[in-house]
Amino acid sequence: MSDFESVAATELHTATPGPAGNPNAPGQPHTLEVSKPRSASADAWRELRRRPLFWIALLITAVVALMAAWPSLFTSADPTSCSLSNRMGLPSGAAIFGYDVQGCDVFARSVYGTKNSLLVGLGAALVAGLLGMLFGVTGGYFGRWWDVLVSRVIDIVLGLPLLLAAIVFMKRVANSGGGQTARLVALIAVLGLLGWTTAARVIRSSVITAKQQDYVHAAKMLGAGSGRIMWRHILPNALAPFIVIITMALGSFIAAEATLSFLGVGLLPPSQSWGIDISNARLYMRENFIPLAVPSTFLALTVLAFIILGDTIREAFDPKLR
Amino acid sequence: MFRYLVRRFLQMIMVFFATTFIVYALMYWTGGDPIQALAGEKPVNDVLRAQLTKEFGLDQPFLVRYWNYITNLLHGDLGNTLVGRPIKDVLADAWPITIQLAVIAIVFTILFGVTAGVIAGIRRGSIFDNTTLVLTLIVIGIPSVVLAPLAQYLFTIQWKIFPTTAGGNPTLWDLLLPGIVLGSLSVATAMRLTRASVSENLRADFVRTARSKGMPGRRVIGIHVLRNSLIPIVTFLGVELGSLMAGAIVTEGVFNIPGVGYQLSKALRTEDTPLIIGIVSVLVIIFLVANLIVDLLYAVLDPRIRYE
Repeated sequence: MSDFESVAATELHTATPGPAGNPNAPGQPHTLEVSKPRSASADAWRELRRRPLFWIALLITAVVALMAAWPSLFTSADPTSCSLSNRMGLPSGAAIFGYDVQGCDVFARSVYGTKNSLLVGLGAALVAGLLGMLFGVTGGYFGRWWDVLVSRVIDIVLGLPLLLAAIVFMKRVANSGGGQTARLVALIAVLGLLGWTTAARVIRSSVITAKQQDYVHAAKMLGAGSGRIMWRHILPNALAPFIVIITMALGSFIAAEATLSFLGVGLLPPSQSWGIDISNARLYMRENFIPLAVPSTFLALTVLAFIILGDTIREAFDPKLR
Repeated sequence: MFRYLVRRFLQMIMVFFATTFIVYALMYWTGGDPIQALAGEKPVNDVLRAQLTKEFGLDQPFLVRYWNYITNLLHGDLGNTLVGRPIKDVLADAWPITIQLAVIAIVFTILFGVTAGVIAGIRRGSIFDNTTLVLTLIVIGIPSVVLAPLAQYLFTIQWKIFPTTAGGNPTLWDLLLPGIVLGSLSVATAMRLTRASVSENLRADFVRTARSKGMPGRRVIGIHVLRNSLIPIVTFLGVELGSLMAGAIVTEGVFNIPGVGYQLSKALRTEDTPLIIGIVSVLVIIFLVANLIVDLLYAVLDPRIRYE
């Protein structure tokens, strides 16, 4: 959703290291008792290890990943076997969070919904990351007309608010038919195609800074080709802010999937999605709040975990905040 | 400045054409049979079909149709919905409500986000700072599909403070809770932005100079730090106002507020393609204009910025 876009964009002001605060800049002053200077990533790792919030977020993402891969580890109930005689059944030994309005096991539905959410999030982050890296690095490195073209394309994509554009794209997919897998792939493509711009901008600005550094000139003089310079010498400089952006984007893609499914243009039943469950349970919340609370908690915790993960990594890599 | 203005304006026009073209192409190029959609389940006889095809200009090439749409759009004519109501009228009814909602959200953001950000920025590392940082992180992490129903449950059903749904003609009181829900995401971002910018300015040379001249602390904060810190916040709020209108779709749906977002989700449900395109086009225009104004405001607010 576009709100997340702006969140990520404002985080950038602090995430993008200026020339002075570049985490990988050589010769960064370190504490005196250390004889061998540590690398910036080792510094960041030391910083991260001490943050409990980082470990909590990592634990949540690990559980979510496990749940997506083997949902049967967490529940023995079948999310698709619903019986109206269980309608709005209260929590019991058989179903720890009871049953929803269709008589489906609330907990099992949420557990099995994890897979789709994570698939969309990871897939869209992968697409966005690759596109952002490709256009960011080449645009910043080659400059000239190619950079102008890339920047204009970024302007155009940013001119479309994420949620609105995704709605229109997904509506188009709906018109052309297609099964559940087709919708899943379409969601990944749409979110990835609309979400790469922030990453591209961050990488582009890092590349422009790095391009002027002496070691890049040195590599060029030693005869290194464009590809090697970009991959080995320039990209590592942009990696820290890139990882932060992509981690946070992953969270926001998961939220966007849920929002689109909530609005009825993302995944459709019988696919399992937290957004679908929230949208159904919302109408009956006066009667029974639990079917709404469970998928909401799953969704909020997952998104939160990725946002916190990104945020703590950003802080660890930002020397100004130490 | 003038050259920048012209360039920025040309850029906006290009983005406008590209975005509307994408939206239009996606919805119409291969988007099913609009005449059958108009007729619903009933079969359409050939004479009627030929008549309607001519009337709606469907016999013309795609680019011509796009051009007609754009010229109509620029003349303020958005066409009709599938049931024949002018889209302009639909929007005219919905806009005031969405604008009220967005204004409530922005006021809420300024009241809480900016104030908390200033305090946190001045007292970095304090308990207040750390608590608000964690709280804002949580608010950023909770999507509106979770926050809106949760707020509705807690504040209207569990504790009957606010009305559950707004209904046909919402008063300001009806819109208060949805506005706060809508604004809560910007609150977190605004707070973090303010905090970062205040604490950065506190370390600036001009603040050190002001302090060493013996200027009292309150004056240093009020004049030198705050006025410089507010520049990025004002621009953030400007952009946010544009995106809030688009973001209202979930909130308006949950609280049953007949604003623009509600109309859009209704159009999605009823497959009303012209209405979807109309609303999205107008929202994109607002978004672009808000961005342009904000860019120009930057130069006005901060004379140090000179555009080439």
